[in-house]
Amino acid sequence: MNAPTGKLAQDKGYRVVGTRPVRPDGVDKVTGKAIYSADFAAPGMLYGAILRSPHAHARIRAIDISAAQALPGVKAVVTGADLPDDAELMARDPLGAMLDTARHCLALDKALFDGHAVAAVAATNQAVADAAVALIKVDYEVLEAVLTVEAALAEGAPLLHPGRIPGGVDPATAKPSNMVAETSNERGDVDAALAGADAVFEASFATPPVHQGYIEPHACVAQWNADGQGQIWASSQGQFMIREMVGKILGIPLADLRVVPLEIGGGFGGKTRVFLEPVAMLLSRKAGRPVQLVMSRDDVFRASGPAPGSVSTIRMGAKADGTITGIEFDITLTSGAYAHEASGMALASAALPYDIANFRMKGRSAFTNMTTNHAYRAPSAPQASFAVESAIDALAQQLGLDPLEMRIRNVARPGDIGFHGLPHGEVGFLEALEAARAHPHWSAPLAEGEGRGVAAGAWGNYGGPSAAEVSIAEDGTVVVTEGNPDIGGSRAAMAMMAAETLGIAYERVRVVVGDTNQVGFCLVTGGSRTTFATGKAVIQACEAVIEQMRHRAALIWGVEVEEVDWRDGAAWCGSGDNAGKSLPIEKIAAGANFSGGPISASGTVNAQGWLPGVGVHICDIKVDAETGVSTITRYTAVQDVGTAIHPDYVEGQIQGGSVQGIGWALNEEYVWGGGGAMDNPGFLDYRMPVASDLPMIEPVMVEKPNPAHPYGVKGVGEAPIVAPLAAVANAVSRATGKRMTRLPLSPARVHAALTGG
Amino acid sequence: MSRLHIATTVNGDAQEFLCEPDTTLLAALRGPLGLTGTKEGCGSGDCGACTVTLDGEMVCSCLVLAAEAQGRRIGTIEGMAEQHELHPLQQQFLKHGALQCGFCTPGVLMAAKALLDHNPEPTETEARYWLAGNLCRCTGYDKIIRAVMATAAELRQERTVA
Amino acid sequence: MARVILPRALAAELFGGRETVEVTGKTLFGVVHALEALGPGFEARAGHGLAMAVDGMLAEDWSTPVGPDSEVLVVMRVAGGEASA
Repeated sequence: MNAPTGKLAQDKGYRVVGTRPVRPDGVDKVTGKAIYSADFAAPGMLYGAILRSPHAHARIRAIDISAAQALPGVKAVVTGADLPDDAELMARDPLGAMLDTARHCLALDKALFDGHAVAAVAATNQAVADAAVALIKVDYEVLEAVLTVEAALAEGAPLLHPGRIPGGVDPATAKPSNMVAETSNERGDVDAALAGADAVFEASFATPPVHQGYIEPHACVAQWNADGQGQIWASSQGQFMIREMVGKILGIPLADLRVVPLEIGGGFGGKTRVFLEPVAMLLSRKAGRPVQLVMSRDDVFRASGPAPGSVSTIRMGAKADGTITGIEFDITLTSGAYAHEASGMALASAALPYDIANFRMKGRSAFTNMTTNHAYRAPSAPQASFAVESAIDALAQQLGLDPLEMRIRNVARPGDIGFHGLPHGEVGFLEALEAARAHPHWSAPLAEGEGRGVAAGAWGNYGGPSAAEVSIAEDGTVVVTEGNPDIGGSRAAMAMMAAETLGIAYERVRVVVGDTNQVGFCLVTGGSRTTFATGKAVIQACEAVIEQMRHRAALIWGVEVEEVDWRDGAAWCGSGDNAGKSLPIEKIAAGANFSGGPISASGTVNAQGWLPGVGVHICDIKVDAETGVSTITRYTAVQDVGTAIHPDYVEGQIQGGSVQGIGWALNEEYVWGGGGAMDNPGFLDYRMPVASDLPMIEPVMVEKPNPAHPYGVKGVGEAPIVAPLAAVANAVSRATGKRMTRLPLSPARVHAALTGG
Repeated sequence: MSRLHIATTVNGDAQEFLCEPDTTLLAALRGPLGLTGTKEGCGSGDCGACTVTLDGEMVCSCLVLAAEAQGRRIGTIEGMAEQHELHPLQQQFLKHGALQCGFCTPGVLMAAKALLDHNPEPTETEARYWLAGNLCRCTGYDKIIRAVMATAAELRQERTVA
Repeated sequence: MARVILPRALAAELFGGRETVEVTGKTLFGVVHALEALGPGFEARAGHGLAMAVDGMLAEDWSTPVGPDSEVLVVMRVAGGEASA
């Protein structure tokens, strides 16, 4: 554990990067000391409760809060009328996102989903708050609800947002509908390409909405003082995101709103927006005390931000040698109650690992009466990739080709023009495919009744803005302050990159995740950007601190700073009387006040040059013909990770993302009951994978470094969820002889396919 | 409803608290007892994040009434380490990277300890089925199972040597 | 004059259908201002939901220099794990 074992780290001579030290927040987390969102209490805190609509679509005619207000112990009651009005919200965000977010948090004139918050109460204890909520009388005019994209886009469908006209439609339309927007992308001549193909596969695919399934429900404590300043304590994927959204919704200057990040119990994209915070702030203002709001598991399913469901059609043509001549692809995603337009990401990701000369892709989202959909780990890539990777598998079968060889034949290489119209950088699509092909799993024999599926899946990743500070304590230990919540070990990765850059031991670096008043802006922990972008900011700050220490050493030695080197955690003198001598960081730090003062620097980046992550997954499945139950017997997940800063946590991302994808493929779905309510808003019937469902997930890290990062980092968090849907479906398809096109592949569905029922 | 006065033992210490008849043990631990290490993930006994021991047997504390703690022994994650000495399970979890967000970890550790107390030589399958009631969304369970198996081996080694 | 290539939907919405536009600008700031003059509303969109690439490289830093023969590609922004609105 003390020296890197990976070839890349060894070749580069890294001393810390590539090792597997214990994470700095580890002891707190295994002893129950870490404070998550619902663990926090402020003095004098009130307890909040939310009244949620039981109707999936209804006009709110009136709300009578008088009985609730009169209940002893109730200190505040709020409704949507307490939020700023439409004009004010649009003035602060003309694109309308904050208006949508505000109305999602607390409805005004319409309830758009079962579970939509319509009122909230703060009281001296939870029992009183819950009782008060039950006393609020809402006069609803129930409207017809639409739950599927087909119903939402049908002629004459009830409109969730009457008068709203979809964007991006070509030719432009003036007709209001439930379509959010449409997007398209094309190149070449796909009709000719398909006509000239030796084999064409055509099918429709469908996936249901699924939830990120984080075990920690949303919670927050908010305090909004009489002088306008506010504090929020909450877990999220970004305290700056909370500050921005709450600040814009409520009209609070950002420096007046301090958001303190608590430990987060999973997010996966679902905690990159606010649900409770604006409501808690309103209650706190009215009551003059801090207010806590906590979601139940039921609330999380019904009222947070699950991933869109999809329906898609694909036509793919290939030559006899497996070259894909053209792809025609159309996908419609649910958006939920307010706008979540993800079809652009779907089109960009669907066939990302491949170089396709001819394609025509169209995508759109539709409002449906469910909670507003939101990002879930590589948003929309799994849904889109499912169709493409299934098509490749079907064509490989039809043409008698090895499905991995067929993918390699079509792979996109560095310099090839990608779907976004730009040349690819140092992508590792080919290397990942080759590593999968070389892996013993690919050539291992299958047992009776087993099928093997393989699929690739990539995600573009991101960089973006981050800030960090590095300070050297008087004893030469180092404090790094950055602003990204630690979801999966990023504190450790930051400490490792800082230690490597400074040339000191990992244990001499501590990382603090600062609140919004303590560190400069950091974009969310999401988009597979944290190790890449915030890492760059940390490294930049370390380099600035090294510069300062070289200057201090130059002063001490009486030489020019150009004569001073920095290596192995010390300044080295290159000339004069002190040539060959060194001053380690502890010595420079101890004398800092005599050489100019405290040693501290910041780094800020808008990190560019990010590169995609790509996974290639091999899945062996045994299908029980009598029951339709699919059991995974072996699973290998290959991924190009750039450089694995901390291999344990990179493996963890690969394994976790793979298992989420497996759940999405085999069991998870929103089940709609009568009246548009979710029938299964709990972990018993929303069936996520448990330990006994799975074998070990073998992660294989391919390291093709990113030249745009000092340690070659490529984002790793999202890519692993893209491939599993098709890897599993291809395995079941091959085991059963039936092409599986509708998820989840629950036992009932597989059994029906087997029996033709 | 008049409140109940409950006297119990938590992690070896005598504790008392007031609660309603319908207060869960989970709420009592996290509220009046100030022990927030035990988590609520679902409130319906399906996720295991609230796992504690009641007279040595593992239970979902969201399915136990606080009143049932009267006169009995409760064990929570806060009592797993011996003062500042981490339990071997806790150490192996850190060594194996068997946690990411850490939210399910207290419940998983309590359940894993109960497993090893019952069965010092579990197979991988036995470990997986024992922990099937503890949902983890971050890790895919792989490193958790490895950490549990490694601890079992370590403890067997210690017993052999001792 | 730098050559700007616009996505079809945006071209239809703001630029009367013109998908290729020639503008002068020393940096992306200049290009954005020139495009705003030709198609009012572009600048607001450029800050949110659109991304620009100069000669094949995505450039979020608008001080990125633009040469007289440069090609600026305007693409729909794609970012994940976070809000898409």
